[in-house]
Amino acid sequence: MLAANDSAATARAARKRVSPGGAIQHIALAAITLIFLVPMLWVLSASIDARASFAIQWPHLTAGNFQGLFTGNVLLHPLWNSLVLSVGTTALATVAGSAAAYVLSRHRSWYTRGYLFIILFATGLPVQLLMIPAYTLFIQLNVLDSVPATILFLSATSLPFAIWLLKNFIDNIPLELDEAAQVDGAGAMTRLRVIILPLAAPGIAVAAMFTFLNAWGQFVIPYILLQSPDKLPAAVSIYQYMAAQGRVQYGPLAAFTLVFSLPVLLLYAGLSRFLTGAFNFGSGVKG
Amino acid sequence: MISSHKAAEQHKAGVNHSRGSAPSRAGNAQARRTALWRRLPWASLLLLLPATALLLIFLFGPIVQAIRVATTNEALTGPQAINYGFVGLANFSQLLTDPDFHNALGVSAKYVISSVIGVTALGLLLAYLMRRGVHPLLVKLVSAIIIIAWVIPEIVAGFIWLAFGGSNGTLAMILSPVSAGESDWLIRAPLVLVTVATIWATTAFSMLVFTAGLHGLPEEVLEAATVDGANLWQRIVRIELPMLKSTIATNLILVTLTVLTDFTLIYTLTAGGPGTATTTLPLYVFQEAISFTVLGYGTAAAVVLVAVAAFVSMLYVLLLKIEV
Repeated sequence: MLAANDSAATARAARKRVSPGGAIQHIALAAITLIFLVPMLWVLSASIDARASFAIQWPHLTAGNFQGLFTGNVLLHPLWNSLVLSVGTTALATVAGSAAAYVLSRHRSWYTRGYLFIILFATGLPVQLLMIPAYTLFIQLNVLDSVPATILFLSATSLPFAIWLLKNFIDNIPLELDEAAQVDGAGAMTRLRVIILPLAAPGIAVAAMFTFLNAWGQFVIPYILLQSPDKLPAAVSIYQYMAAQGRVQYGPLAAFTLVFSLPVLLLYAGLSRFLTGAFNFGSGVKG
Repeated sequence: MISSHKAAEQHKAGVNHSRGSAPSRAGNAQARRTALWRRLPWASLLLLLPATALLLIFLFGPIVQAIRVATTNEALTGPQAINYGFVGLANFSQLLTDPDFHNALGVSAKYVISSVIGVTALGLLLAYLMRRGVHPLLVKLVSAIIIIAWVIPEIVAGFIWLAFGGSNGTLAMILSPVSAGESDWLIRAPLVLVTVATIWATTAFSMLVFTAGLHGLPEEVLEAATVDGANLWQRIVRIELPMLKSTIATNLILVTLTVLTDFTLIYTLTAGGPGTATTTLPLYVFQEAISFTVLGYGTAAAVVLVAVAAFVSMLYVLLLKIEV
């Protein structure tokens, strides 16, 4: 609370002494923003253009590109597959991650330090590196092209970050609450249910949203581990439409990528207010 | 100097309080935590089991698998898919003399170095530009556009840049007055375009990290510097950047890891081509193992890549100096 007042005061003071280089500052900012914006504008115009090509142009307005998505199963089915993969992954990773984070935060044992060290190490190690070995492992276990096995794999890849995030949230719940509940006769499982889960709910929501975002946009993992056309998620089917160069219809594809990106943008907008401190590396972690 | 030292001490005390790891409290907290589990000692193991099983099978499993397959001549199809044998380090020594692997190393080096420099410089610049003197609504708008480029799925970013830089795309249209010739920039300057697309899709991360880092700088120090007559440039170079050292290091490591292992964006844009012009290490691994079906050899290349990434990731862990 004090920190919030402080920073508000600083911001007010900062606004008073606007630098003389303000014009240069605004021009530079506008230029960079425009460069970021121009590539995106094409998707927007192509999605409502009846005669879309690769070059940006004034669209021949149509809603047909979007309407086409909702007739027939060609594009709705991949979206459904994405939803199944993402929701399954989110549920599994959040439940397993919360349980593990609770123990790692509240129970100190000989393995705690090593476990956390491996978790942090794994958050920095991108999993797409392991895709080829994972592919041979899936062949050996005879689970290639299995949706449940792919969900298990996606969950495992999200777990390190989820556990790390949740552990930090649970660390901030006072230990006294656990102790008071214990005096009242609550066991470890009861305390998890009655104290930790309700108080860590915002943290669990953040972890769940992150996991969902990752799973929804994931391309490499389903591309390699799934094969049947009717099991492929939207990210893979977009790629396949793109790869079939000659037959690509840019308008409908642009409309589809917009629909596909919409949940990500909405979730991120919802998530952003939780994120103010999440990017504060270096100053917060180092003691 | 003294006051900042004090602040650091207070900060430390705060951290320790929430984590219970100050020397005087550590033993106490440890005992208190142990006491919590007296009645159900097995509950902790039960709760850890699902996550541990998933991590062991699906993260540790592929690592073991990688080391096993990399030392065989296993193939994806044909007789060597079933009857393969142990070949020791032959795959690794073959990598050393493979011109395509050397090419992939070179392409990766160029791609990673230029992307990391681009992302970091642009992220830092944006964080500074939006720090003060800009209307809050404008800050929100600009951040939103740059963050959208980062949060949209990589496959969508690939599609956007394929359209933007591809044959008769918007880029060719914009540049047509000044540059005639091949209209497909994915053929004309593939590595440059792939790098620019990567910077476009990654800058938001750096921007957010540096915005948070700048926000965390103690205002008194900066004001003292201004009072002492330091101009803007001196303040940034002599005071702020040195204070942001650990933020910059963290940013460099995380961006390097992201870019070093990026697959989707390049694969959708160029699939490593034309020829091998954009075949970075992850694409090389994929091509050898899946497209050329030499599974053992491709996996050996993957092991090299994992080792490089593991080294960078280890730097990250050491840098954070975790207190658990």
